[in-house]
Amino acid sequence: MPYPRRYLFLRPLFPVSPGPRRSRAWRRPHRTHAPVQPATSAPSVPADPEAELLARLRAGDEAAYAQLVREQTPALLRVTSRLLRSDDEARDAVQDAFVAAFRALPRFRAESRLGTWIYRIAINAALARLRARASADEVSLDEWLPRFVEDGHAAEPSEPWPADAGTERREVRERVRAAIDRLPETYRTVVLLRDIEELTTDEAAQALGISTGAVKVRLHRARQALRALLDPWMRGEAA
Amino acid sequence: MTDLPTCREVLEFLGDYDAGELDPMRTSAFERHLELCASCRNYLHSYRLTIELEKDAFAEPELADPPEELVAAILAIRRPA
Repeated sequence: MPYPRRYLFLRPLFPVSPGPRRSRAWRRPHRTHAPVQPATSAPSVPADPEAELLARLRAGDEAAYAQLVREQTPALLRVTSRLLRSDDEARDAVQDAFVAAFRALPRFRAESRLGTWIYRIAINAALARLRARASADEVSLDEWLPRFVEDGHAAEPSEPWPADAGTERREVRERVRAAIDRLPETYRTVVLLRDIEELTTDEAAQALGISTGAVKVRLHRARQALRALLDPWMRGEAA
Repeated sequence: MTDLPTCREVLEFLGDYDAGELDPMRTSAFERHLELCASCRNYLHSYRLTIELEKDAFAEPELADPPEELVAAILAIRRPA
């Protein structure tokens, strides 16, 4: 089937904003395996709405496709906008993801839930767009990493941060986001996938096409850099 | 008994320590270092807080409904041109 020309977002009607922090259980609602047995209880309340939706999708039910798109698009926009930092590109990546998902649906084996499957596809779509961007602006993290004297002691002892970091304060959140945005792209992406989207190390490695060891190293260095960027402000030394 | 790690070793493997991925002997040595070294204790606290702040930084309300024009564009993909 030929696909129509891509939809052009000349003027987005809605801003794409990141989503709320949720408990891990909520944030990963589709992690459990979905049985694909047909519903056998009362016909008005399917025993397994996911299986029923999947069956309708496979039968080509347009209403089922509309349901899937409406249910999944907000979460996909959230993750793609975080990765891409562009509302237009985030929407294009979501569109890419659904194109890929519709094509792959006949091969979907229900080993994960539909939402998890499409969410992964959306992450891959966003990462593909990130990789396509010029990355000549990669900078070194070294200036934000701890320094040591010859015998291995810290060159500059770490000072304590306040016990109450004011995590509810809007200003703190803006500072942290700005710090994350200062990270080189390869590190920023790992922070988003591991700490914000809460992918496992294996999942992040697979999405990024790098080893699990590389994910761990990048994540640790990125966290150290963020800590260094926030340190003066957290200790009240910077305005 | 394992030698105490240096500050450099502690901070280099802090992520693994925090994730519980060090073997018990090394974990024990890390913890003895942390008992003795206020600088590394401060660093560990701020490292953990940094991760919490990252998560809180993205605690924003999600879109209640998807943009209609996006939904329409996606659904149009399935229909013959």
